[in-house]
Amino acid sequence: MDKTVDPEVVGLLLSGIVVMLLLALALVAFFLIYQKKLIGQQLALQTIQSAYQKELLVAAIAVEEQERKRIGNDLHDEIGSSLSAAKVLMEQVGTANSSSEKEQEIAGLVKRLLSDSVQDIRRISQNLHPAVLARFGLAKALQNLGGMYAEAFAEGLAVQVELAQPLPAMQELALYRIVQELVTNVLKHAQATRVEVQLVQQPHAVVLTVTDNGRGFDPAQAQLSPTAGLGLKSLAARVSLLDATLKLDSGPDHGTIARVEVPL
Amino acid sequence: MLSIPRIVFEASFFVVIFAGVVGLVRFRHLQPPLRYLLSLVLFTAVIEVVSRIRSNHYQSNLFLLPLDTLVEFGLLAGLYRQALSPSAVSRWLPAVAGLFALVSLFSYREQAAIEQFNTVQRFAESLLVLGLVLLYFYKVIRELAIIRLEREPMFWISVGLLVYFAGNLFVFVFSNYIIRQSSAVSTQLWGIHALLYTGLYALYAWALWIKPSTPK
Repeated sequence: MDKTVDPEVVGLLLSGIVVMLLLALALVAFFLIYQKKLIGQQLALQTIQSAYQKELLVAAIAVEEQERKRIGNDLHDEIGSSLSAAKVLMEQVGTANSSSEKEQEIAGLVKRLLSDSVQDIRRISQNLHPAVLARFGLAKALQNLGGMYAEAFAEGLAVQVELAQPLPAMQELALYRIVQELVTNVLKHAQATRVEVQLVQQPHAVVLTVTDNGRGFDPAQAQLSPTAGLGLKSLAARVSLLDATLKLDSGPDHGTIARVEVPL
Repeated sequence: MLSIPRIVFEASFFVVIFAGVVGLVRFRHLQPPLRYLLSLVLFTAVIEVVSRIRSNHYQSNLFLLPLDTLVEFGLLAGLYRQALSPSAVSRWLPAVAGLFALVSLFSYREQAAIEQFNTVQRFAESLLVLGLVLLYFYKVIRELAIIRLEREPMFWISVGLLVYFAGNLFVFVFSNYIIRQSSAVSTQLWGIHALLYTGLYALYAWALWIKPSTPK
């Protein structure tokens, strides 16, 4: 009951099917190769852009540090020295035999004002450019920072540093700034009574932890807020500079643990 | 002893059932487009069961084919509507599917009376699905949002559909002509179809099984 089909027709039909299958497979292969190539180009471009942005960030932070150093030195060396000299002169006025009682009283008052101003200038200068960091390293600088902020918290600011060896200057400065930013944030917003700063060297990383017992916050919410997130953005820039990771563990009334891990 | 086309034909049924089981197991994790695919797989499984029962009773099941094609295209259109969203094509797809359904219903009335393959409907479906697959590939290339294609279910579905419909285009077009000439050649051709069909449902099963990589 079957008619005979022309073998040529069957051959053409089968060839047509094979050609269509080969075309489909070739299209899939072309698509895969082309897509991988484009993804590769996109990733390369992103890497270049990311490296460029990091260079810009490094340059911006370097300029900022230079400027801080210049202003800090100018404050300390020029205005600080002038105020110290004025204080000495005022002491002489106060102790001169020719001065009246009223004049001595005013001289004492001015001397105290000058003393406070000298202290303020030293503190501002230290904040702008931590000379202790350059001279004695990160451990000493953090201890010094702890001393500066100790009175700001009812139960104090504890600093624990366990570094086997000094870190590169750029890393030390960035870590110091991160601690400074975190402690300032705690002081401004957390209403904490105690802060602990811990810097520990591990086999493959340096881990910085700043813990407070304050009122805590929602990190996700803070990052979304255009104003409240500025400190966090500044932190993120420093962390990015170090190729480090920043983890904020916080919640309402649970205090905050900020952990920065810097790969070695 | 069963011929090779017959073995492939029998095996395809189990692959469809397997894909359905995979889809049901993974149902809770399936994204909306893949739920269209699962509906298609389950519908095909029902059609397969009905057609095999009728076939065992020596009854024709050709009348099921236009219905199967109609539902298959409708569900694939729904799948690609979501995959191609928010393009203009995705907005027009319901209209295209509606038009396809209308034409299919008119041709179905004619085809049901005389028992033969509805070649025009199958050919039209093939061209439309191949067009959707190419649009999907174009979208992927243009957006470059997917990095790991091998973890993307829509990619595997599209590969399966491309190979299946491209390979079967001649089978669909010449099915009536060949069956009138020789049932042996027709069996061979439908054996090729069964092989591609098995591959398609194996890829459907894989697409239903894998977890899409995030972020894309």
